[in-house]
Amino acid sequence: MKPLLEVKDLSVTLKLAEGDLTAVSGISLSVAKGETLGIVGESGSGKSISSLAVMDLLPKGTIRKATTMRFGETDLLSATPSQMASLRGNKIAMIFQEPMTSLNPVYTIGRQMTELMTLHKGVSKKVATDRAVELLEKVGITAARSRLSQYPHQLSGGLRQRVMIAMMLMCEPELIIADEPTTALDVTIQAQILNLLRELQQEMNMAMIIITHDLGVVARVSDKVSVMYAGQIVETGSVEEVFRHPVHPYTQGLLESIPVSGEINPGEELGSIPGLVPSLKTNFKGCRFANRCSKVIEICHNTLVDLNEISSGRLTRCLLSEAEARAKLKEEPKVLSDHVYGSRVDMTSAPVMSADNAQCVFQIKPNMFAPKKPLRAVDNISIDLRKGEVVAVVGESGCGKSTLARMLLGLQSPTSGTISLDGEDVSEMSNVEKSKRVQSIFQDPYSSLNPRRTIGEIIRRPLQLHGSGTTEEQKEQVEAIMERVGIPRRLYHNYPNQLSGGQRQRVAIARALVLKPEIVICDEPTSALDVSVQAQILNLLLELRSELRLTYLLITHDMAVVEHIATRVVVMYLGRVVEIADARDIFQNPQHPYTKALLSSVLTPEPDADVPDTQLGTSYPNPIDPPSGCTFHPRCPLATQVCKERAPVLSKFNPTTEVACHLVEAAPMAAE
Amino acid sequence: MTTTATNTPEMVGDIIDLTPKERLIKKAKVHRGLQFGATVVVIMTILAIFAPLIAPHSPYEQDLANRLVPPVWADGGSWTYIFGTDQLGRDYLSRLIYGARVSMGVGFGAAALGCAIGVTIGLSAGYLGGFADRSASFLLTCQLALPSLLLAMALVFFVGSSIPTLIVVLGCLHWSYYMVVVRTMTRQIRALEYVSAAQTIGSTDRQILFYEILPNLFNQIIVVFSLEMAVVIIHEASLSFLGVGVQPPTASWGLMIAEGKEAMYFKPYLVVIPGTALFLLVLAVNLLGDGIRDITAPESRN
Amino acid sequence: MLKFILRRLGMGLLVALTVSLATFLMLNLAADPASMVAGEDASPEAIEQIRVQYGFDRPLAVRYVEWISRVAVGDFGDSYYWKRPVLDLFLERAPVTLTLAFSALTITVIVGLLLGVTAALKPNGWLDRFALSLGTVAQAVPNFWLGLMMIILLGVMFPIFPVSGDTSWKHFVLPSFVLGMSAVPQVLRLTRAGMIDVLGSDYIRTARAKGFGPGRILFQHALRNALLPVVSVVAIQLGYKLGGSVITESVFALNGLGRLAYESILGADIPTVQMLVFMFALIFIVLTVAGDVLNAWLDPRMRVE
Repeated sequence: MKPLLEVKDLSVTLKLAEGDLTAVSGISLSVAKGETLGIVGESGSGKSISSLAVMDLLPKGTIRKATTMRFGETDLLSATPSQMASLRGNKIAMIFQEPMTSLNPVYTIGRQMTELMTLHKGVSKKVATDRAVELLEKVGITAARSRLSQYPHQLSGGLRQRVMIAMMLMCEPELIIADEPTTALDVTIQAQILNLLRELQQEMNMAMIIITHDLGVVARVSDKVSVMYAGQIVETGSVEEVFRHPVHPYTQGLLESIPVSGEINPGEELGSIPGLVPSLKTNFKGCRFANRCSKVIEICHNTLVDLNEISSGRLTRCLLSEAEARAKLKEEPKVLSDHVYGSRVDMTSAPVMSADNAQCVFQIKPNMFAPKKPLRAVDNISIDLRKGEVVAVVGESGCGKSTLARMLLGLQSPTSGTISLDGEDVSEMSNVEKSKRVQSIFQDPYSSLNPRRTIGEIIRRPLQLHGSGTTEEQKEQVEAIMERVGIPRRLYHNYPNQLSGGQRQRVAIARALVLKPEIVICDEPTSALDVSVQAQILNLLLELRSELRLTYLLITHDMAVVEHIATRVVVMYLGRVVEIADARDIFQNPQHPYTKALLSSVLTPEPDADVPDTQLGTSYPNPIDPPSGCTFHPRCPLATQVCKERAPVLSKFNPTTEVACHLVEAAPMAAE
Repeated sequence: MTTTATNTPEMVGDIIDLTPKERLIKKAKVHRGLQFGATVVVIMTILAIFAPLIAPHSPYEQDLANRLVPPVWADGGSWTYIFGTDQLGRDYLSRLIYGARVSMGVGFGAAALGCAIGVTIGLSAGYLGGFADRSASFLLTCQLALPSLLLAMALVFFVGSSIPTLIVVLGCLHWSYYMVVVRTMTRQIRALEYVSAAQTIGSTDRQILFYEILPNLFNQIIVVFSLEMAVVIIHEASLSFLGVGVQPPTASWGLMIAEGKEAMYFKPYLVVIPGTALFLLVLAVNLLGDGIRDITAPESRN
Repeated sequence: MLKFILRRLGMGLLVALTVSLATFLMLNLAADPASMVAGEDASPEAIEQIRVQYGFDRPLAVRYVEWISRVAVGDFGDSYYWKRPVLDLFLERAPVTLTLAFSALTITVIVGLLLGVTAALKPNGWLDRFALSLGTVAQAVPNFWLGLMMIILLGVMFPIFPVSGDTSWKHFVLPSFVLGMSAVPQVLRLTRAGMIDVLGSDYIRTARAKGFGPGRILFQHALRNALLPVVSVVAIQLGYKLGGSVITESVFALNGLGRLAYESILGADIPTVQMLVFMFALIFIVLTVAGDVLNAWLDPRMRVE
């Protein structure tokens, strides 16, 4: 069958003040009706630019070259701007990453949906409106007709992405390009949107290109996949083939970097790809991956590599033979965390840190005109942290986990309840005293380092504030810790902007550890990093933990990370704890329906698995207006009348597990 | 501590950018507006400081025999009086050079005073938030509502005009821009994670303000300083032009324009020369400010 | 919405009161009103007599309360200089200044918006460079000097427009142009920045992906978003034009409020100066509130559900 879209040797060059940058060099793609192509790559690999090039939506001053670019019967290379415009939104539709900003804030949903159809199909407003209602219902939006008069800001992120999808389907396109369509959404919503896209694609027999950095997403929704690295495709093939038998060392490295549920043991080293993606301004003389490749040989550095076909539809860009490339280099994974430390936490010992009925209420104005309303960001939470534990706090955005972290760090004082360290109330401690025991690592390595200070100054600052030792001694300590976390000593006098994201996160870790704290609170420490770098940082955190006898509190939304390093897990929903249990129990025998849903939404890169159906109601409730009774009841598939009326309390399910659910309460131990 | 091989540091040759200082210099080298602005401002400053050494004549000495001598390029002009003389026979070039003192002095002084007021209010409002912030916003609204030129005229005239009066009055009426910029920036920086990090390593509020926040505001403050200095220079000239600013016989460009106005129909140079000087200085100061803003603007991450 | 407007108005009233107090204090502390009324050559006895006669010997607080409570019922007192109620003076002179301010604002908005939008369409293109240079130049030209240059050029060398007086529309052309140009840089830069911002936004990319042509994207999707912040600035600029009229009116000898202010300052006429400062502030406050309300009405994000 002739593919619907065919692109050959596409290159895109951006004109920058400092010179040209070839963001995409010589990529070829094709996708047929009813087929889904996944393009996967880390940030800066050129995957989004490629899709914009197909749509002719590149920024001004960008040069696009290709030998072939054909959509259906139209030659995209010679199409006039107006011909292109009549394809866009009509035959080719595109869905973007940011649902919060991708809809025009000053027009209603209805107007934005109907104008697309009246433009391309010349139908009456009435016809377009009916179609809009039909599609909104199809994407699972209730009370569709009344939504038409709403503005984008009145909808949640998940709903906006549904509207975006419905809008793009108005003209029944033949090809739909989805650029990171679920990256900005919570996991439970992500699964729903992916399912929706797949269903619609099959129903309408569309071709689909899905662009993402998330191997799990690609594995589950696409038929074939192209892996991009530094502006090139390094491997192409069917999903099954690429994920089961990756050939290119980069693909192999990527797949090893992901903690796969059930296949990893807590505390084990993750595979990671060392080093950095090369700058695209480089004039490449050899393989672009050579400097990071574990199987590199001499000729890789000075021979330009072509994409070679190794079997039908299966291509790879590597000089090694298939067998050589596939040869396992790695020995058995090393255990990074010494298992004695941490695995046998004395649960009867006094907690090193605890929150006791901690509550944090913000007074929020929902809009300019309304009176203030209380928002219970954290609602009566009690957690104990014992020496050697890695407690993970998980939940979707808006569940209050970051506020909890800020309270534990003393950055936010609780409205009521207490936070204590070794039994002492922290509100009576000075900043300096607190900082000796508790330190933190933040999410965004770009904003957690002061841009005006050098790396050395940043890491030395805690020592300076605590007045420990002479300047010389402090410098020695700084250099020692820099070496330990893997920052070359010569970067002492460099500035944060000169470092990559991964290196910056290492600096943040060094700053937290230089005071030798007992407890480290990590707020999403890896979520701003690329997959391969994420694994480097997780490995480092694990090593340091047993080496320095640390206790971690980890805030995260990533269940794979949790399974990899946590010993105990706290699941939060709308400011409350719904379940606390040992990590093994959570993964093997979750109790609360929300925990179950959360776990089932995790997309591990398994090519033959489908996107799971989470059976959750569509949207996360507004924390200002929490539902009555059990706040989870509107989304819970098992909710009963009592759930709507009465809020469940957290109670012991077994010696190590506590659950807040009426249904679990009713039948204790039944699940065993 | 041992280094294990599992943690391969990211490769050597991993510095992905220049230091902030190197970046500034690199950008400044290609910024023509900045270079022009800086050159003119430096020249004007030198003229202002060393006026007595540079001026060829006394700016006050009247020579009624040589009244209204045209500038050197016009018919009847001579190299003795390069820019000619005014109605009282005073050397126009010398008055121009002395006038730079008034413009630069009042401009710098008032901008500095406004800066001190605005930065203090802005920092406290932005850092403390809550009531302090609301009071500061209220103060700002009041300040913006006042017709500043009109009020400055009245106050300077009522108190009795002198250069210190001008500096104080103009300074007290020009702090709002600093305040707005500093307040917004402080609020933004305060929400950044490096401030949270500073708190968790034990910094006090003072240490956070002076070690983490203020150094990151310097560039912006300098930009506002130069833009406000330009505004103040124009205001001083306007007041002097209207006769309520610098009083004769002191040489001020605004006053020179006012004095030349009577004869401007047949001797336009009397108005054109000081006006051009004023325009050049204000343009230069503005270009300098814009230039600093351009070269210090953060680049996007991509 | 009504509640919002009322709250804004209440806030405005509070600002007006504070401003009136500040003005009163500043003006009365800057000079001794008695000696100013008496004139330069007056003897100390004469000054004392005036002080008692005008009530200047009473505490400032008492005099402020008396003044503001009269203002509340529309009585601004009598001018020392013209010996007439200052409100009459205000009403008499206001039409000239309002004409000037509105025509200047029209010029500002037309020039600023047009240049700002076209500049943003092609950042770094020749039109953009031209617009930005014009902005930089306009910002650096002192208003009064531009006025004089215009008089020399278009009044004397090429006598197209009259250079002083306020009897025909022609008299307003030059002053409006001069006053209007002074605010062009702000409006231009704001429009340009807003437009560039909007054109680079995600929802404009969406609009392009939907297949709209450039014209439709510009006029239907970009302009409205980009102009939202300009609305309040234009309202504020109208307020500034009133203050700026002092210079323009004296250069072009227009007999409006600016000239009145100038004359009353030179005449040490505190009641008139006080009234003018207060009135300008009041107009400014009303305009800001109006701008806010207009903005809230135009931007659905600020509307009540």
